[in-house]
Amino acid sequence: MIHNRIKLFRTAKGLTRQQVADAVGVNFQTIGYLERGDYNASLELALKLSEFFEAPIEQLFSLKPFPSLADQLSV
Amino acid sequence: MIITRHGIEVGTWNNHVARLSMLGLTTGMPLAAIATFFAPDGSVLEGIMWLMMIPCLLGIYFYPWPLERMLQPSQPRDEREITLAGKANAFAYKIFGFYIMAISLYVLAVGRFASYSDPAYMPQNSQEMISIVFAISFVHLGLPRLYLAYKVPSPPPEDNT
Repeated sequence: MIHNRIKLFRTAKGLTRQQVADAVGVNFQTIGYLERGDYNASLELALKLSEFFEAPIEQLFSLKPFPSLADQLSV
Repeated sequence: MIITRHGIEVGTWNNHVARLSMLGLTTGMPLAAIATFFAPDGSVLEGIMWLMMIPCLLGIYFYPWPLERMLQPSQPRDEREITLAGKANAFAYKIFGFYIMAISLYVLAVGRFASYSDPAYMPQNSQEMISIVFAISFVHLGLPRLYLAYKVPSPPPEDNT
């Protein structure tokens, strides 16, 4: 299972799924399936998303669950 | 292309409707077609069996368009949709292959051993042949769609935002 923070990055930038989908060339529903973990992006799509959000790919995708904000604040 | 208008908007289709419509097409239609063998020609019973196919056929209308478009190469599809279409077709051909193989072996066996055993069933007239072709066609049409109906969760309405 591949975990991602697409929703976090998208909402932080105030974008809709449709805007992200248009930017990376997929159906807007695919962004929803990605955010819910129902679909794993290909390497090409992962790189496009990384480029679009201007974030390193490891900040966007991980093999391990991302720590929650509460966990990060408590450290 | 199958005519379907259901579920065009996000949040307007659900998996139960999709599964039911394709179960009707994949199992109901072939069974109804084969059942006509047992009804006497031109009887009321035969008419009823053909009429029973109408609700099964109408199920196509309630198959979600987002799922249907995945199987249409003429539609603009992204990588997720192409991947799912590939899996659906692989699933369908795997089952359909066994189905065709079983029919082929049966026909071969009937031809080979016809003189040694009781007469085995073979289509007797054009109507029976048409019914069999009809049944096979609907299994072929329904299987990839049935796979998608079971494997793709319906998107929640908030996907529109």
